[in-house]
Amino acid sequence: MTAVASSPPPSSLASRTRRVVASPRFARWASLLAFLAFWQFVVPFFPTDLIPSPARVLQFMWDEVRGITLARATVWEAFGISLRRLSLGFLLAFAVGVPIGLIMGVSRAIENFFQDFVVVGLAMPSLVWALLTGVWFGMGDGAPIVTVFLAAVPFVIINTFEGVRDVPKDLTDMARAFQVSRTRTMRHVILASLMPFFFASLRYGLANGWKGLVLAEVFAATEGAGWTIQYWRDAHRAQGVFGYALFFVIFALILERLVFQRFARRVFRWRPEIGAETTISEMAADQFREAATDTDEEE
Amino acid sequence: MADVKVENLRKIFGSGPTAVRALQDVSFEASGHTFVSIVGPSGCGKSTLLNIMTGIETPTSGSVTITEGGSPARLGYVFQSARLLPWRTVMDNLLFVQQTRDEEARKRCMRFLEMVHLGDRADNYPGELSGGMQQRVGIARAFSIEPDVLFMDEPFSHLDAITARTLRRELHELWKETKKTVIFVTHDVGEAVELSNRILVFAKGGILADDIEIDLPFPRDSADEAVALAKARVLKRFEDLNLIAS
Repeated sequence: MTAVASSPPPSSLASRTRRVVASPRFARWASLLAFLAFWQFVVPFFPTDLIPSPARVLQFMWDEVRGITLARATVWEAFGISLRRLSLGFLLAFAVGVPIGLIMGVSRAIENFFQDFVVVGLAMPSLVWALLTGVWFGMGDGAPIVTVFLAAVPFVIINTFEGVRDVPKDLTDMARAFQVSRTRTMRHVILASLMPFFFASLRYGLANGWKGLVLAEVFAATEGAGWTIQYWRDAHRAQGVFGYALFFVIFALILERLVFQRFARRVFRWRPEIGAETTISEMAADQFREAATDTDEEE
Repeated sequence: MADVKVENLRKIFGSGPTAVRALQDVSFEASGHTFVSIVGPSGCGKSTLLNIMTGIETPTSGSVTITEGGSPARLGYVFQSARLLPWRTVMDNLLFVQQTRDEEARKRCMRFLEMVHLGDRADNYPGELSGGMQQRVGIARAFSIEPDVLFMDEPFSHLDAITARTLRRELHELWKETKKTVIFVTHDVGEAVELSNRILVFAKGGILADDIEIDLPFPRDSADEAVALAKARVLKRFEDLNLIAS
């Protein structure tokens, strides 16, 4: 006779709790809550007045959002000014960087001509551009806009260039075999295959441009988000500095979640696996790994 | 009726001591409702020949003339992998290669999608289809431009045996119905015997070694004795030409 032993089924509440605790989302929220608790309850014991409590920072932020501020402009106005500068600088970077990346991708001589400038541009800290443009343009819009341009343009160039080099040859050959016109091939094959790379330029160019912008506004502006965080530092209002730092984080999250991810889902809807966790660079890598595999197989 | 004329075609890659002869003085003709298979071992220049015939590559010397009633013929191509634009739907992939994109073109594309049993997948993206389905779309795309000559470069080599067999049957039906000239590259002798009425045998170095006629009624099944005998005859010819180890 065979004895069959079975353990009693675990209660659904216990198993559900275990599942929730083991989930990555739980760990992320727990770490945030632990951090806030540490900040609220432990930091006050530190012998310094320079770290405000979360409650004070949140109060500051709430006042700013409602338009109550001691600074020259509210958070809305400050970010509005910075966004305008960021957009102008980045549009300029895109307008200049895309053509340079395209011609670098099709001509070895032009690639060699620009290569070192691009590498230097990628390696240069935005701080250097912010300082230099401050010297060149003085206070005003000029220095922040040109800093955004200089900080973003190498990313636009390098991504466009990589995109052109990786245009799937099997698809351009297919278009040629079917005698498809050059304009149609350019639009539906070449530009379409560059989309992930344009997207990567947008994301990394904007991120780097934003960092440069804030620095340039600290050194060479009299308004804007960067200038305002400097203002709160000069006014010895630590909650202002912390609050603005958090506004920067919120701004980055809004840009990422509400703009980039939605845009990516729309533009890359042909890739069913696109979700919140997939980054554009991963998509680009996947796409061209597939193209490379196809080419290898044919060889 | 399409006429294909290949004369003294030669292709050399590179130059000097490292030069590789891919094709050597290849000449042949084909016309009308015919299915010509090009077979041979890997690296014998089969795909190079097809690429030159379709204008993807240029020959070192020699010429290719493909005409339909005296004017340049319209060419269709089915590749080894489907080569679909992943960011366009199945229907848009077919429309991409059409000369016009009007309602008539759309209807024609749909007709060929239905012929390969993918009429209900017109709005899907290629990434949502299996490998076999994608290759079917590739075949429908090639037929949808109503080409005078259709080139196929080992279109079933990436597929499993069952899917490949089904697609061979569908291809035969399409060929029978549309009465096109088909130039079909394969390394599978059985596949060539099953589909073609003529087999061009290529040897290493890009030499056209033999031109074999397969005079058997269609449809052919690889299990049929006559087909098996024809396959054995072609393989024997391969042995005689030292293309495979005897």
